[in-house]
Formats: sequence, structure tokens, C-alpha cells
Amino acid sequence: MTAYVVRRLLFLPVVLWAVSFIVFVLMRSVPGDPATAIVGEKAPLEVRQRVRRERGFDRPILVQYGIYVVKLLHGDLGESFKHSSEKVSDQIARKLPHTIELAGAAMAIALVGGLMLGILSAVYKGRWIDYVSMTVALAGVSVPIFWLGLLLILAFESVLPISGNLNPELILDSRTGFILVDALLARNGAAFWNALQHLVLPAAALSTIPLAMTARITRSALLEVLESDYIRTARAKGASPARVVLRHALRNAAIPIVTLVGLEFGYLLGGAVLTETVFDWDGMGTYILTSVRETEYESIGGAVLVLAFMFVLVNLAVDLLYAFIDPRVRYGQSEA
Amino acid sequence: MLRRLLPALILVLGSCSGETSDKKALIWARSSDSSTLDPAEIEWGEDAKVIQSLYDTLVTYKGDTVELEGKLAERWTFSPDGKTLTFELRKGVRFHDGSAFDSSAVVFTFERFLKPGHPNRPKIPCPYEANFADIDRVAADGPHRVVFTLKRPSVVILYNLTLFAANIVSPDAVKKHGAQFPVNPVGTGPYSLARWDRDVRIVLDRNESYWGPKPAIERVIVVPVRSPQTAIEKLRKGEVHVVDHPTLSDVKTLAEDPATKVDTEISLTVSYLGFNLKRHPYSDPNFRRAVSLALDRNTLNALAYHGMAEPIANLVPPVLWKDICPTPPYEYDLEKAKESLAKVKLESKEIELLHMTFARPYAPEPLRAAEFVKDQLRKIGLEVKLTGYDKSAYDQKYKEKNHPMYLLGWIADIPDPDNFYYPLLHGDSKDSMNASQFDDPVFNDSVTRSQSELDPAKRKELLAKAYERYREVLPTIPLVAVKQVIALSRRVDYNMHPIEYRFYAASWAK
Repeated sequence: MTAYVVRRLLFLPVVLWAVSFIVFVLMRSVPGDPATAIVGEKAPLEVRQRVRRERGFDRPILVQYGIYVVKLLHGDLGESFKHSSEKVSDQIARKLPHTIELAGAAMAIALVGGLMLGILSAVYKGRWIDYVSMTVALAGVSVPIFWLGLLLILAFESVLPISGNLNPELILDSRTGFILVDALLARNGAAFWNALQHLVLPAAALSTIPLAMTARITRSALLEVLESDYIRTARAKGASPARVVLRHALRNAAIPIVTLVGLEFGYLLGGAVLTETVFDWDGMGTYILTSVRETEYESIGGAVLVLAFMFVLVNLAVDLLYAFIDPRVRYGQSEA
Repeated sequence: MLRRLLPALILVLGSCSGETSDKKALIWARSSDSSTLDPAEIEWGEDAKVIQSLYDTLVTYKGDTVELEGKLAERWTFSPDGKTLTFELRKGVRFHDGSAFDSSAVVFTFERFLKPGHPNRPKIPCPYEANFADIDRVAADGPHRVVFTLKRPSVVILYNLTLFAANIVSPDAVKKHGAQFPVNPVGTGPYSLARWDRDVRIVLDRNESYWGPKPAIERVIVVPVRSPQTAIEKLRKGEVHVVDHPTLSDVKTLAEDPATKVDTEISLTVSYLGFNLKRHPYSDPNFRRAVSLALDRNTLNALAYHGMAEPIANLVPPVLWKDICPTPPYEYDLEKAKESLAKVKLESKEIELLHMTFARPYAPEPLRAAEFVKDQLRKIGLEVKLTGYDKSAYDQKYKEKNHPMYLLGWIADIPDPDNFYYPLLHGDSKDSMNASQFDDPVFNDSVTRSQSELDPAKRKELLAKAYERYREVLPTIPLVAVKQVIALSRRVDYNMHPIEYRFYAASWAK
């Protein structure tokens, strides 16, 4: 088990290195001049050249990459070019909790909704509940998230906030970075409710795809398990239908569901760009988007690295969860 | 963690009330957060907006005009040769940190970004350095007098002293905060920074010991709302009081809404069509004339500016040119355009137009403007290929040496014709905004001489001469002068200025 975890963790630097290299090369191959982004199009040529020289943009790309990697090895993600006096790590520390909050809320909706739909349609296979649930699930994976976001805004704009994380006049000191948690720690009820309201629409929009996928995989995994002998035995024993499904079947169907949920959570962290943009959510998605627009190489690099890191960790956590759910799974030992 | 949070959760849910901040705040929505609050580092409008209320300059614009008056300077005098400019400073002014404002602060402010090797140089080189290039030396003469020595007489130096970088900073604060000064700004302005939550809000509190008239509103919260549609929605719901980037298509409904209103003001913003003068057929004056004759600016105004602009025939907007010389209006004549085009040796009817895919003040709907040019030029037999770019790529594309025609614009920094002709058309500016590569000896000479000509009558003659040359060669085609538009809650009054954003000019409606 330990050996397995160590092996997986050793693989992490390789992933991060590959990601950093790809992002670095890609960013420098798209048109755009960071020096102009820093001092503006009006700045005279010599000022722009000075910036280029001072920041090393004029050096060969591999040399620039070398310098970047050395900084990374010292734990330095670099600094924002344009936002003077700000480190990329500070920016990410501010944005990442917001995205985790959003992805967490979306995941919670997806899990509850997806499991419910999945279980219902497996239990009532071939009945109208099944058809309705699976149609909802199909719609969930097919509807483009930005379009759904706009529909939600149109439908709920009079009752719920449609953009941002918190009303601007509600001032909250950031202790953990998670707004809901900060509001609780500060015992600020108004801020808590306001933040919760802000969370509803984007989380709902973001939850549709994982919800639909969870529903479908739950249904198929459950159906398979419900056919097996021990379920018949359980029924014969006189266990209540609810107990058979929730206790006997669901646990054995859990592995594919957990795998999917883990993967989806990873995607949500990185893939919230559209949702965050539609709802003006101040998180990693909008951060990456504005960084690309402003040619902020180091911000983009840092953000992508952190997301890749989280993705790998979430996957590892999922793998470890298997063993917890299913005692038959053991890592690093040959099966007897 | 959970154990700490649960009781808090119960408490919070129990005590939920509408408690908000104790001060009544004006909430101002704009498109993006500031990137710096250090005046010397400021490059674009969003950053400038905030510092114009945090700091003071030596001179400023009187009311909502473009006439100058003293601010931190009570008065000023030029030496007869125009090369020495002496300011008498206001006494008894204090910075937000309590330190006294005096001549050493003025010297420090300018030396900091002008003098190479200064120990407190800003991290980002001053983007507006070129506007201060005429300054040779800034020296204190006693605690309340400052003498600017100029390299040559300059007509526009006073205007340039209203620019962002000329906002006087507290030397103590710059030294104390070092690289963190941009987030700990200390000036003498009517508001001071209460807090800055990056990308969320900037909170400004009224400077209760301000030397001048105190702002009517105690607290201003400046919030970034990227999408103008969302910002307008928030304005309608009363979540924000001001939206300074409304979409023009919403102006009519906002004006009719009982809760909101719209204000407009002239601006020094123009849009134009540029050409690569080094590349055929764009280099042929007959070609450019044909294009100009084919563009009906009134239609452009209606299509891409919702009528909120004004057609122009000179690159300098009429408000700054009216006293200099008469300018005939633009001419729209497709037959003449075809005649002019017939004189051009065209290898192909296909030409290329670069345009932006993002909105800027001079191009709120850039795609419509590009489509307009395409449609109009088709009428004289030209096929236009449109090539659009996003912000960072566009700035680079139109400056490349082999670019074709391009749509661009200009937001002037100071209310003087020189701020159009020099940066956009003078040979010296070929590496920055003069992307047409226009480099005409007659034009250059007139403009350069007009910069140091202290006699207003003679200066007018020089500018008129430059204009004649511009009209003859037509290196760029002026399209429209754009109006500023702002959307407000009816609970708020705000006196707009053609150039500056002044949060301190806002008040609660009676």
C-alpha cells in the first residue's frame, strides 16, 4: 500500500514537468507581446525594449524555460507581470478556494441528484421513472454549459444573484479563502447567506454534466449487481427492498461510481472556465482566462500546474478510496 | 475545524439579519480591477480611475471643462524663454499617512520615475515617460516652491502635469512600503484607500482632513463586473449605482427605466482606419482617397455606435480644433471613389482589413465596424478579407511591418491637438502608435515646431499647416469621435469630465 502511494507520488513530478513544458512552449508560440501588455501600446519602443530585457523576454526560449524551472524548483511560481507587487502563488491562493467551493457545491448537487436518479431508474428499470431520469441525464450531458448558464440567469435573475461571489458591500476578511467558511468564522450571517445565494446558480449549472454521468453509471453498475446471486439471496432472506438496494447492491456498485466522481471532480476544478465566465465567478477559470488575455505567462503556467497537481492528487485519493470501499482491493500485493 | 464551525453555523443562521457595512457606500461597477495603484506604473484607464481620487496633481481641469487650474500648486509662472516653470505650492496639505506635503515630495515624485537608477524606481517603467521627456530637472526652491527646468519650451507641459504619473506620492510611504507601495497607496487626494481585495473590490473612504472641498459621499466601493450586460442587470436591481461601461444597445432602455438614467459627455476618443504606407496598394494616395470617399460615417455611427458618436474629417476631434482652422466635413461619394480607385494599379481586388474582436472605448462593437467597411468597399468593387484578433495579439499585429489596413482608435491623454498628431502621425512615433509609418518632413516639421511655439497665433498656423498636409496625403482616415456614456441609478448624481474619472464628483440625488 505504502509502496503504491510512493510510486504514484514519484510519478507526480514527471506529470508536472510535462505540463509545465507544454504550457510554456504553447504560451510563447501564440501571438502577443508581454512587454506591450505590461506598459501598453502607447509606450515608446525603448521602454518596451527595456521591459523585454529586464524581464528576460528577449532570451532564447529554452533559456527562459530553464530559468522558470529553477524558480519552480525553489517553490516560486513567479510573479504577475502587470499586477505589480503580486506573486502568482498569492493570486492562486486567493482564487483556488473559490473554485474548490464552487466545484464542491456542484459535486454535492451532482452526487445527491445523480445517485437518486441512477438508483430510481435501476430499481424501476423500463418504467416511466427510468425513461424520465435517463432523459434528464442525457440532457445533462448534452446541453452546453454556457447556454444553460444563460438560461438559468434569465429564469432566476429576479430572485438570485447572477454574478460574483459576494455582494461588494459585504466586507469579509479572508482567513481560509473559502467564503462560506470565512463568513462562519466571522459569524457574519448576512455574508453567509449572500455567499450561499451566489453559489446556487453557478453550482447548478456546473453540476449538470457530473450529475448526468453519475446517474448513468449508477444505473448501469446497479443493474449489473442487482442481477447477481447474492442479491437474490438477500431478497430471499427477507431483507427489505430499500435495504437490498442501498446496503447490499450500492456498495458493490460503488467502485465505478467513485472512479467517475473522482475524475469529474478533477475536471470540475479545471473545467469551470465557462461557468465561472458566465457567472463572473472570481476563481481559477476566470483567472486563467484573463491571464491568457493579458499574456501573463507565469500566471497561466502557475495556474495550470496547480490544477494538474490537484488532478493527480484527486485521482490518487480515488484509488485509495477503492481499498476502503472494497476490502478485496489491495495494492502492491500479488493476488493469492 | 468542524467542531469550531458548527456552533458558529448555528449562531449565524440564528442571527441572520441584513447587517451590512455601517457607511452608506456608492458602488461603482467597471470592467476590470486595478492592476496597480502606484501612479508612475499606470498605463490604462481602469487603473487611472482610482488614482484620480486617491492623489492630487499640481494642476488640474477646472470643473468639467478642459481649462487648467491649480490643485496642489496655487499658481505657476513661466520664464520669458519658456524654459523654466515655477510652481508655488499649497501650504498645510498633508498626505493620508500624516506626513506633510512640500516641495521635496514633488521632486521625489518626478525623480522617482524619470531619473535612471533612482533607489525608489517603480517596478514597471513609467508607460507615460515620453510625456515628461521635455523635463530636464525638477528642483525645490524652499519648502513651498518647485522649479521645473525644461529642455525646450513646451506648450503642453502643463497638460502633461495632469497625467497619472504626475500625481504626487508620499515619499515616506514609498520608502516604507517599497515594492508593496502599489497596494499601499498614499496620496493627498479626497479619498484614501480603506481596503483592496484584489479582483473583488477597492474601498475608498473620504479623506476627512482633505484640504479642498470634501466629497459628498463617504465611501466609494469600486467593483469589477466584467460583462456589461451583467453590470446593467445589477444596476437595475439596485446592487450597484454606477456602470461606467454600459453597452450602447442598452442606452435607450436604461434612459426610459424609472430607476436608471444615462449621462453622456464628450471625450477625446476617436476611431480611424490606418494603412500600411509601405505596402501596395495601401501606399497609393488614390487608393486611400477612394476608401475614404466610400465610407459613409453617418451610417457607421448608426450601425456600430448606436448614434452615440460624431463623424469627423480630421483626426483631432472638433472640440479641440474649432479655434485653429476650418475643416470641411467628410465627403461620401461612391462615383468619385470609383474614379479615384481607377487610378490605382490593382493586381487583385482583394484587400485585407485587421480588426479587433474585443470592445474598446473607440470600438464598442468592433465587428460591426469591420463589416461596415467591408460592405462599403464592396460598393466600389473591392473585396475585403476581415482578420480579427484578441487584445494581446492585436496590439502586436497592427505594429508588424507587413500589416495591411487596420481599424484602430485613440484615447487622448491631454486636450491638445499635439496629443493626436505627434503620437499617431509624427515620424518619431513610428515605433509606437504611428503604425502607418507616416514620416513626412513637412508634417513632422510643423508639428515639432508647434510643440515649442509659445505664441498662440503662430502655433495655430503651424498646426493648420500640419492639417493641410494630413488632408493632402491622408495617411489615415478619421472615422468618428466617440462620446462617453455612463449609466447611473437615479439615486446618484455624477458630474462627468471629458478626460478624468472623479469619484469625488458623485453625490446622492436630492
